[in-house]
Amino acid sequence: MSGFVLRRLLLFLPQLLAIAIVGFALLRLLPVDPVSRIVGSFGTDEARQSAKETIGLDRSFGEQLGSFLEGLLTLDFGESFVSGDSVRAELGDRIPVTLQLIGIGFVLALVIAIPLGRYIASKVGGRIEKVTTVYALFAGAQPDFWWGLIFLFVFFFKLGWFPAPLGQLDPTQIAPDGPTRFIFIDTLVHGQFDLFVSALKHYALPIITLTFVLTGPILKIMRQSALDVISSDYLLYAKASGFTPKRVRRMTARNSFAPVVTITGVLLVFALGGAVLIETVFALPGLGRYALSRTLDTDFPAIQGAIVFMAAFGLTVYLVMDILYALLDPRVRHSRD
Amino acid sequence: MLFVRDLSVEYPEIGRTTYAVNDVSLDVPAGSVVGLVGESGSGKSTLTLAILGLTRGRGRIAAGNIEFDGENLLELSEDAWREIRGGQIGLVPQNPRGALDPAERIGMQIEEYYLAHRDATTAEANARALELLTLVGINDPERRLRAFPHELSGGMAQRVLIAMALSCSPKLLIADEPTSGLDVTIQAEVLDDMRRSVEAVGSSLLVITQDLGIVANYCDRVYIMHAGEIAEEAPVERFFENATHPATIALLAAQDQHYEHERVRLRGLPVNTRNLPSGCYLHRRCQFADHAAGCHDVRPPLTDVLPDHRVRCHRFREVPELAGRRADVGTPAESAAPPHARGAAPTNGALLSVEGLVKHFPIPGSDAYVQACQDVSFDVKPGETLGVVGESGSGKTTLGRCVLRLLEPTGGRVVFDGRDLHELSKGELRQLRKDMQIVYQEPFDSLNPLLSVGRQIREPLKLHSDLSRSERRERVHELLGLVGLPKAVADAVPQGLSPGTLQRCSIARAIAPNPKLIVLDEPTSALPPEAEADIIRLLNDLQERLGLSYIFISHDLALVREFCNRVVVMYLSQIVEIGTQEELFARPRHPYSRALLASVLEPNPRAKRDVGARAERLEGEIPSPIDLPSGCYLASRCHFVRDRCRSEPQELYPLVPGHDVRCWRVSENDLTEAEIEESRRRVAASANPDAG
Repeated sequence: MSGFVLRRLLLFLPQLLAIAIVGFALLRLLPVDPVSRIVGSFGTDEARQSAKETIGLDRSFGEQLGSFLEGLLTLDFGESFVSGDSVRAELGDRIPVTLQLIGIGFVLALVIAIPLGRYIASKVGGRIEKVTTVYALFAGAQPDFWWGLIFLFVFFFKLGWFPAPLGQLDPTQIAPDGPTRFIFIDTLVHGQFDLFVSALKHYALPIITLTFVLTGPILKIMRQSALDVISSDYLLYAKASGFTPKRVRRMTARNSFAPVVTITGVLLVFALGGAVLIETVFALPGLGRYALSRTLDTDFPAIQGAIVFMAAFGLTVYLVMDILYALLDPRVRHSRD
Repeated sequence: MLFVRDLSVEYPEIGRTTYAVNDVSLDVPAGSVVGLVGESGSGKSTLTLAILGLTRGRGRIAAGNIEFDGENLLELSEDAWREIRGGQIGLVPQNPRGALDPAERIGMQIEEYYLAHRDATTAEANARALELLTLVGINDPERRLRAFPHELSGGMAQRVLIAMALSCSPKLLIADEPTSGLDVTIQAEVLDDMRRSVEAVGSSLLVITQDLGIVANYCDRVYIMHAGEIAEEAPVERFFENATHPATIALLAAQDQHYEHERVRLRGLPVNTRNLPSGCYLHRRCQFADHAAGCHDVRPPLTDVLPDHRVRCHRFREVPELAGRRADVGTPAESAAPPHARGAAPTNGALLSVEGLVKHFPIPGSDAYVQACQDVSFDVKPGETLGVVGESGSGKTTLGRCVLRLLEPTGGRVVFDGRDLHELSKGELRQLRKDMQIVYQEPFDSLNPLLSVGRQIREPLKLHSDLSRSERRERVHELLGLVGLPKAVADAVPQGLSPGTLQRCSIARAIAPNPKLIVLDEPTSALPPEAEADIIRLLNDLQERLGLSYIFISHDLALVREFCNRVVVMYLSQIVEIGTQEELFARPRHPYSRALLASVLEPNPRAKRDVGARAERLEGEIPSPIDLPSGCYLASRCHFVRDRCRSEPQELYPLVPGHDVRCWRVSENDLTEAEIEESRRRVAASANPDAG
């Protein structure tokens, strides 16, 4: 087991580096011209040349790669072609927004889906099962931004329960500066409880949308795997052996979690990129929107920064998922040791 | 000890209720071994669970009483039930590997079982677990305690479950098909262990089985279940000699030479408890059903034939006579020529000859390899059936596949019909495929679930014949007729057909291109006993009609004896003995062959396997095929081992023409009958309860 984890950890950095380099190289193979973006199509040759030097595209591929990798060591991705600001600082502003959104969204989805899935597995054919089946079908059949719009229409426009979708706070409020850039932490650190509540209200609908969409698939998987365990021979035998209900419950839980871990990991990695839709609907300044707009602007440093972060996130999630899976299911552990 | 009265288990379904167990009464007196027998689906397993107050799915115990040790179990609270389950009544479930929690170490599971019923510290539970694993004969128990279920073989998992069931010294042990899927050698060992353990603590044993050999050798009293009811109950001798219920007789006839099978067999498919007919549940299948007796309208009561022999049949007085039990048939061991074996086959020329066949499976990432076949040579003559027997892991299946060149051998030659298979081009080999076919073990896995049976039988006709479309269709019907199936089966898909029917379809597909040789790889081991007997009869019949040669791979010695002309005994990739069926079964010479034969359980309560037979049983576990001993492969397990055995690799020594043995002691007449006799006496003496 520890050997398996160690090997995976040792692979982490080379994998990340490889993705970063491939991303870097692919960007430069694209038939796009960042310089035109800056000076416009009718810029003079001098203006083009000076812009090229400013953003460093006049250097050879090797030199560019060298300074990119050098910056990577200190997580310095250079300055944005578009804004001229440090990409690292920009990412530092955006990443917390997305992480708060999908982090809280996933925790809520798991907290709802796991007990509910477990419960309906033991009540096959019951009313709650029918309701949840219909729900899972609906939630999965419509895209998340569509649900976001519907929730906005109902809860903001019609009922007025939540504030207008204009970012993390009201336009008149100013977010505290640091230390973590996670608004829920920073407002508490600075004791600004009114801002904390305001952020909570602004995040509520996007998080509800995400949770609503995510709970469906997790619920389905949890129900199915709990059903498999409940109807298994070993559970029946555990009862026939006179094991306590507590022990039987533990056995059920442990044996039904593994598939849930897999689906959660896969969904989580997808959600990081997919958050752009919800971020757009609710005007949240998150990573997804940032990456999308900077891609359209051919802002190489920003794209590279986003790629490195998303790759690191994805690799971490898959690593944690594999470790959890191995902890839950000894069969996997042994085939990898 | 256990008295079950009028117990019913119902499954509520929309619109009606079905009974998986219907009005069952059953007694297990203290200190006795009781057998519960019946075809699959008859409600045996449901009954055993109900005795523990449990049901599968939505089942419910609807009526009845379960009195155990003076208490009425059905009135107990959930907490009191938990003490009974596992504490007082131990269950050894079917499907041993599926019954263990896949996510928990074996040691933990035994400890938790123990701690659920005993006030003990973890250290005490741990010590008990170790002691139990040793008791049930698991090698290297410390290491096994830390193993997970997927690391155990079926046999080992079975023993772990027996260890768990025995851990709290239950007053009653229920064993549900405790040895199905185990090799014969292990089967006998496990049963011996279980009976000994039960005897040691003076408790009783309820064995659920379909194997009449187990019934005859271990049980005092037998209950037959059919469609959720007790059809007949009798002491074991009366069960075998004076059976009166048609279902019992049909069951016996499948394994017992005293009955003429055609006269007593049940027709059609097993009765489904979801759809029970009126009258006697068996009347549609029974050859003795009679309107006048009321079989079609009145459900027969359980009637006393003798005070300890009850039967549920209107015609129980006439049935034994109608069934015509022959009294004068010896046991199969004594009968010189089994009815099916047709003596020695014609000796002219070999259809197939295998010379020095070697098959290694390399282990990825190392130089090591698994040695599956080593220096295997034999001939198969036209019209002959060659049996290949051995424990799992002995290389039988690999051998069968190498012979057909479905696997590429590592070395050696296979000559079929005068042609060396390994010198043929791919095209020529494909041509030759029509002459060599195979039937696999798993009926469900060997047919495509999406295609109709007819289409799958047509497939080889397309490849190997130039019949027109309509001719092929006709040929499929003809083939189905040959294997005893109605034409309508051609349009059915495999799902929903019984295993026996599916196996017939596989056979029809195999004989479609008119082959000369068929490799039968355990064709009946996934089938219930009655279907098994039918398939064997069918194969015999086809051989006579079509002049086929068979290679019959099996771990079931009774079948091999009945079915084969010559027999090859394999152990750990090698042939250890080869000879005619008569020679080998009457005078097995190799210690391994002896052990195999000694572990056979005869379905005859008057010919029980005696304790002395344990003298021939093998010790310990089969060595790893990756790291084989340098001398005789059996040396570590053999009772008659000498120093020379451990160092000198053994060759096949001819004894008489056609009978070879891989043992120098046998070949040089060093291993005498006196020594074997002496060994048997020693074991018999040590097995004596006074001594132990």
